[in-house]
Amino acid sequence: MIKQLGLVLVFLVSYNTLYSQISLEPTNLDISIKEELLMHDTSTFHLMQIPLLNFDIEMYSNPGVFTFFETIDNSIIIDLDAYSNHVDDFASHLVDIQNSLFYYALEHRQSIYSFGINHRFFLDASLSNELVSLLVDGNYQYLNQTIDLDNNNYINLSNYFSLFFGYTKRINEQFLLSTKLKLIKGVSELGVNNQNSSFLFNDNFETVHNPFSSEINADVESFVNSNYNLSSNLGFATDLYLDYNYNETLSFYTKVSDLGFIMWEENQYSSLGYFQFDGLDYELDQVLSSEFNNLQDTLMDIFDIKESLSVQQFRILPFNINLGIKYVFDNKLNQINASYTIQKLFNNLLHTGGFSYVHYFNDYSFSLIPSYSFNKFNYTNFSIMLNKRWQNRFYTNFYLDNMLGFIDRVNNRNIGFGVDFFILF
Amino acid sequence: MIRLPQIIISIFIFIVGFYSCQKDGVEINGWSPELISPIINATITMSDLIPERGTTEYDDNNLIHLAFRSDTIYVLPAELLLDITGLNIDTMVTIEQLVLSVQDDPTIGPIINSLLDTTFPEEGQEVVGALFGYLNEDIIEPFSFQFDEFSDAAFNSGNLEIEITNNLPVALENVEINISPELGVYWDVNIVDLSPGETAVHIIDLSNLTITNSSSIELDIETLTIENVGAQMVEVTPETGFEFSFSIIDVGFDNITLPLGGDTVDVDLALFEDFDSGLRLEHPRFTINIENPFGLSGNIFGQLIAFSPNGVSENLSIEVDIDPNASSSATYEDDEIAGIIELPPAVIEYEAHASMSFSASDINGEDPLRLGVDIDFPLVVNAANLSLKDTIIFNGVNYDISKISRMLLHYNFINKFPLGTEFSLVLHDSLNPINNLDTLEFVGSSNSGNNIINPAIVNEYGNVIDSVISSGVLTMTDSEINNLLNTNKIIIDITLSSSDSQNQDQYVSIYSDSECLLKVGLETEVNLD
Repeated sequence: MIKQLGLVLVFLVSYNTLYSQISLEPTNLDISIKEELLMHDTSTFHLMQIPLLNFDIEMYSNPGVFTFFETIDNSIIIDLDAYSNHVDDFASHLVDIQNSLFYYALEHRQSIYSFGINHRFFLDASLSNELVSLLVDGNYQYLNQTIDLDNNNYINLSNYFSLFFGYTKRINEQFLLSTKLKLIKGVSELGVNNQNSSFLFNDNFETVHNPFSSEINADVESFVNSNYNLSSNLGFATDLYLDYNYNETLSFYTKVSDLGFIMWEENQYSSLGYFQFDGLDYELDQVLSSEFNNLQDTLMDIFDIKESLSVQQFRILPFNINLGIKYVFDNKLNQINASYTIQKLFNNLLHTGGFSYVHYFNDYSFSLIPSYSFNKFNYTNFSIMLNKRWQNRFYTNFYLDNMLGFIDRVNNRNIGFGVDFFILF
Repeated sequence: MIRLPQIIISIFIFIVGFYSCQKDGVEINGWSPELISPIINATITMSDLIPERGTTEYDDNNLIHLAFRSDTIYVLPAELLLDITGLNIDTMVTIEQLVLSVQDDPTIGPIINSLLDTTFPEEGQEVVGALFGYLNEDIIEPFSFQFDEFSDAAFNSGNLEIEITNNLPVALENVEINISPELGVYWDVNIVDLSPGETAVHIIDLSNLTITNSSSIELDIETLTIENVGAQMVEVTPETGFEFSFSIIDVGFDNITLPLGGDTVDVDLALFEDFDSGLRLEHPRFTINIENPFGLSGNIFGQLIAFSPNGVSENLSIEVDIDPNASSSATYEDDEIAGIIELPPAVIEYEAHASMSFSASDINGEDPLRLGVDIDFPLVVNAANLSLKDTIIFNGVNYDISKISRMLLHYNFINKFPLGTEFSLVLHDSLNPINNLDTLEFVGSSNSGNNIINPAIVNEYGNVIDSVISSGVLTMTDSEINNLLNTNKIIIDITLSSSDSQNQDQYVSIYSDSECLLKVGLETEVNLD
């Protein structure tokens, strides 16, 4: 029940989009990090996000969501057959929802101190084509073929809050350092991880064997957090931002987010077994129902699920590392950026490269930021961000990812959008 | 400056907007997995179908036999034989019987009625002695004494002792009696002046006497003269009359025929219920055993009459020697009893008699003469149609069949039965016992499109040396799927037939551990939308 409530909370928080923080990344001319704005503006000493109105949602899906998802007559239709047909080698799904619940920064003696609360929901799933097809289309198609499932078949979900304290300071004319220390509170986690399972179904027509036989080799583990107390599932993380101005126009930066861990208290389950089944052996003096029960007991014995309760498990957060270079044109109104991002997934990494161009309309205090990025999900991710400063105090950011996806929904494997509102005073 | 009411209103609008966009529900489409799975490997042995019980037995090699042995189908006790050698018959002819026999005679009936009380009170009555003057040979019809012990006999020794006792209150002056044990044999007995209460004894030599088909002794009183005491009153009771006693003494028989009766043979023939007519066994044996503790000798003759369920009958004449103080037997086998087996028999009746030679001195001890049977029909068959059934209790499966797009049952039937095998599963609902839900017939692709699976390969001795595989697939209709899921009793219906044998002259042995294996796998498409 507590687990369900935790999940409900996650979705309420995420999809109601009550809180958010846009992941601005180094795509904005002036606002690589908000603290830098506060540093530039000598007339203000405080920065605060408008609570509950800041979020960033990134969703990657291969196959694309719209290949198997549609709405008809106010109903959501999930077409599993289409889903299966659009899986190449692996089906991958990544959902990263970050909400900024509260953020406040204060400049004091050319240093900026900040604190706030963030929430993050991170789902990472990978299913091989064989597994998807097995689940959706059944095992008939795999007659006499061995289905090997490696450790790229997994589902991992984590949901946590961060309470952070940040410190930003320009060390000299060239270096800007910003760091945050985070106390992490894990809310819920869930994972299913296949290690090395295999299935083999054979036909044996016109033989002395059963017409079908099966061999199942299972090596699967799963985990779910078991303690929902406030003091449980704690961890630590850090954010780090370092900007190096090579000269007036060229600068390099690196940013690390959520580099840390949670010590989850979780229940772990693992099943390791080999079972060859070619039919229930039955003789007429036996009771059929009893034999089926015996078979069930045998299966339970073979695939004995080993249960470890309330285990303290160290798990690294889904951090990301970003490296970039910025070039500001002489008129200070245009800027180009190039970046490379590594996102840590459950058992591999997502690499993303990107370019953006910033044009600042000085008369309107408005920045138009088109960008292009690419990774294994999407090689044609054209995005746009709009940044507007109102009355020299109030900033709004709107971000929309993968605009081509609206034109070609079928091949749309990437959805992302976010908003950010904050005020300097 | 954003104020608190604006924030609350914004949140309210947002929540209302969010929930107003809620969809009715999530539907899953295109989820129709095609699944295959092994299900069951059912082993059906002959012992399941022909269990060892009653007269069905398995030998050390597990060959199935119809076997029955009883040493006491018929028991001839020593007492019965001693009764024959010491036959003793007593009877009385009372005056009451004589008076009643003349009631309708108009000449003497009224006179006799006027002289005594014809109710014959127990305490007796006084009558005038002249009454006996009316009693003579004319009013006594010939009469006989019955005995059941034998009907035909040839005596080689012995005497018949005849005793006549006068229980009248007056003397018998002259009595001539003609005694006949059978037509053509007469003995005359003459008694003179036999006073009241006296007994006259007459002995007849039975040597060389032969009686045929007779079980009674006829008596004809040819002369009866009773003392006339005139008006003297005498007492008459219900017992007043003559008493006759016949005793056989020291008798010896050259030959005597004893009826052994007839009855239904008390043998459980349930095994034959499974067979249709035309059953031929390789070496059936039917043996009659006799344990004779006596010194007598002779033969037993009889008829076995077997009836099929349809009332068709077959006879077997039997004859067994009886050896003195020894065991003897007669065995009938193969063609002699083939007709009975082919029926097949549902009821067997017998009728028999014994023809023996003995004397009283041959009957010693208390052990009886025993007649037994030993039936051994090993199921080594040449021609047979055998219908067998067994039942599987099945709890059914609670499943919505509308989700099943198709269902096929693939099977490999490994037949180790030495006979052609027709295999069906009868789906039954015990709540509706009159009608079967359905019948699944396993029509194989390798057996000419019918559901008769070829017999296993046998060697020259009729023993299975290799199995025969029949494979196929049952494409289940919706109705069959529904019935399969709803049945709670599956009846295995197997018909074994020699009609598909490779060699029509080949006998095959049916062993209890013969088996067939039905291995079934499921192919289905389930609509999970």
